[in-house]
Amino acid sequence: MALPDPRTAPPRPDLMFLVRRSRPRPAAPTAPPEPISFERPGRHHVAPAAPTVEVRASEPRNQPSSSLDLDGPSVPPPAPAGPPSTSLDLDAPTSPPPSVPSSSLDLDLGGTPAPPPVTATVRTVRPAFEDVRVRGGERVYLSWARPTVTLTRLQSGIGTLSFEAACSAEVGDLRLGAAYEFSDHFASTVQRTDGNRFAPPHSKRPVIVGDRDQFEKITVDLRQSRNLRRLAVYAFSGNRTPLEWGGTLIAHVLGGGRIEVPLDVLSGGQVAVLMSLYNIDGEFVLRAEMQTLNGDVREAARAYGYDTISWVDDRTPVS
Amino acid sequence: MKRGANVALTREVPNLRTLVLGVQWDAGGEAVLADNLVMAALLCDRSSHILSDKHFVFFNQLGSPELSVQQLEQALGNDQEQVEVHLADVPTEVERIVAILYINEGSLQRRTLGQLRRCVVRVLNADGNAELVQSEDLATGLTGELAIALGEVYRHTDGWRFKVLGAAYKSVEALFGDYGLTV
Repeated sequence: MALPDPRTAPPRPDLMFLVRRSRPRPAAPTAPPEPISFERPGRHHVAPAAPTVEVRASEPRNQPSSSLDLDGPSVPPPAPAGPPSTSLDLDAPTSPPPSVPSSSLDLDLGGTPAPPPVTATVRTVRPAFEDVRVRGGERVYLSWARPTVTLTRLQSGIGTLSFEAACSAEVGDLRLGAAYEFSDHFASTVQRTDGNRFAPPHSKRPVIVGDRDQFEKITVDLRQSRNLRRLAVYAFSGNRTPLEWGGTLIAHVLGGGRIEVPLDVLSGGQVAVLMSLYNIDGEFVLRAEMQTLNGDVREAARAYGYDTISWVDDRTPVS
Repeated sequence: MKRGANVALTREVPNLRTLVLGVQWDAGGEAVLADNLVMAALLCDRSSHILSDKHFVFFNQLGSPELSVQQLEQALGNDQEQVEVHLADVPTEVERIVAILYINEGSLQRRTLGQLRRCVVRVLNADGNAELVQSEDLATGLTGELAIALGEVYRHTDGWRFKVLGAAYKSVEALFGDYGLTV
């Protein structure tokens, strides 16, 4: 059966993003924490000595060789990958600086020696915003001063991402839930009690699950991460008695990395939005919100822009 | 081609400019297994260590930083997934392009590669989509593994070669560790 030509495949709008990611990183990075190294167990199937076999000659061998023959080491190396010099390069010029004419604001009264020569300095151009990252096995604490962390595309696309509320019984009947919006703009909430446990509701292959092990937990299936546009994790009182805010919200990422947010800084309110997630071109950006509100789940969802959800009551969406 | 066998691609097909690594699998009636299988390509150095986590090409990262490897979202032909490699654009530091398959453990129901009925990796010439080589059924012998290195395209003194690997791992983390990938 003739296969379709891959050159006629649909356009690739994501490639612009990948071009952006290929920009050279800022020089002289600070020493990063040592990432965990996975064990290197032996492979289960030991490859035998490699016999050379003949290719199934589906291409005519006597086809005239083109100028783009890629065989062997004659492949020309690609262009150097070094970053080009930018217009902001302030390296010292090789020639002495030109003499500066006296300006109208020159208050020099004369007779004094010439000012010392201007020394050109190299100015490091820093991006307006630098992502905070979490490496495998590392803990990142989010705070008011540093509220966001950006997961890599691997951390946003492999395994699961879970949010866990590690709280003692002294806090009260703390329950965890999440408002979400999918890429098709469907929005609702997921929580283990008083609502839908699965997202989408009643799905056999849920993207998000409201669960509980030792603590209340929200789990995202990252195989379906591209279906998720945004998420807001909230906490509320299951028995509607006020909570004594305490404990820690922990986000578990691939490789054992943890993102932690203290909950004891909260006060008042019947519900609190703890953390938001935005899918930015395949990278999950997590932000500590730490916002308590009066009302219930419905008010928390509306306050964070999930205003297309229809409600049965103040904590149960229409499914 | 059996596990460990290799073939000199550009020596046998001198006008090969763009190749396609395709993977076909049969999960039978296991919808959960089929839904959670992921193919990826690892761009590695001579010692089979991935250059960086940005050189891991999969559904959430569709191109390498150099754009020389592109994973096609729309699977072509009978392949479930494919990776297209423009050989002339592969940077010199990339010595090996390894095709892997793993099960994403995000589902409530656990599945293993041992439940695959069939798994084959093949190489196509993108110009005309002619199949150049195809591996043996790599599902044979799999039991409780969750990841497998299927095959690799690599540089050799006589050009680009392809080798069937068929190396299976108990976890995707174990495979990552073998290729030096930290996350």
